[in-house]
Amino acid sequence: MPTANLEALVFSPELKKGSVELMVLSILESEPRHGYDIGRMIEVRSGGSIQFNITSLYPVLYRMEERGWIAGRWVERKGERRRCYYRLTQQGERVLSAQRKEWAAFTAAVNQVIEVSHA
Amino acid sequence: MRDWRAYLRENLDLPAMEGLREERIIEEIAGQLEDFYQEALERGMDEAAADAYARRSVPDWQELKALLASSNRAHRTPATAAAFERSEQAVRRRGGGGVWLADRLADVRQAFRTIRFAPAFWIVSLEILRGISSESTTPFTKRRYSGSKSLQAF
Repeated sequence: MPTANLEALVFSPELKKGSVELMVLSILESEPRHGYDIGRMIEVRSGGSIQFNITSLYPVLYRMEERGWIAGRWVERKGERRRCYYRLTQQGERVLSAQRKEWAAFTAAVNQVIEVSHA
Repeated sequence: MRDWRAYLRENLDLPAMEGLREERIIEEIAGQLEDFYQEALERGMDEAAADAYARRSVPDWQELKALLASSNRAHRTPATAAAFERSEQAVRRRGGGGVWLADRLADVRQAFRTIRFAPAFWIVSLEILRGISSESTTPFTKRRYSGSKSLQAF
């Protein structure tokens, strides 16, 4: 469940910044979700290690939407207030695929650098 | 329960935003604050504690304002898109078939937005325009050429 503050963060905001778009795109790959749900899914999938608050999540969502990677649509369900659901666009799918490859290559390279030498 | 929209308007002034965009941001973030509030109640907090918990979700209003403004400034909605969005909302307010129609309009708007950032689309468009432009200027070029020839004869 997402928490409303940043105190419980395990990773620094700087570390998260470079990967937040990739995380959001990955979360939206399976189905459209609203902002609160996106934050909750990131927290659940990361085992509670990564949390986002309003300040860290919404500007990113709006920026990604303006770039055409995701698209928001208001949905009203019975007994609930209307919510803006975000879905991945075709462009977003391409960006996700490219970012996944880039991230894998980057982490592999960093791991090689930080690996403890046994020589 | 607190009026979260009013609370947001008190704390988050977004003068650089267009009216519709500001409305949307206020509605969406107010909804998120309400979600935090409800979540806190479900976890056993009393109303005062839940209210404080939800309010802590925006620790720095100036930071949020700056981030929202920069995400808007980088890709400002063009006037045509804003007009499109306004008509979409007007149709949606009618309800029934209007909601369906508004959804289709949203799809068209999204398609244009995607095209706007697609390099392949622009390359092809420019090539077509260049083709049309060279076709239409050819007679003038020939005429100018024949004109200069006749001048040379003098």
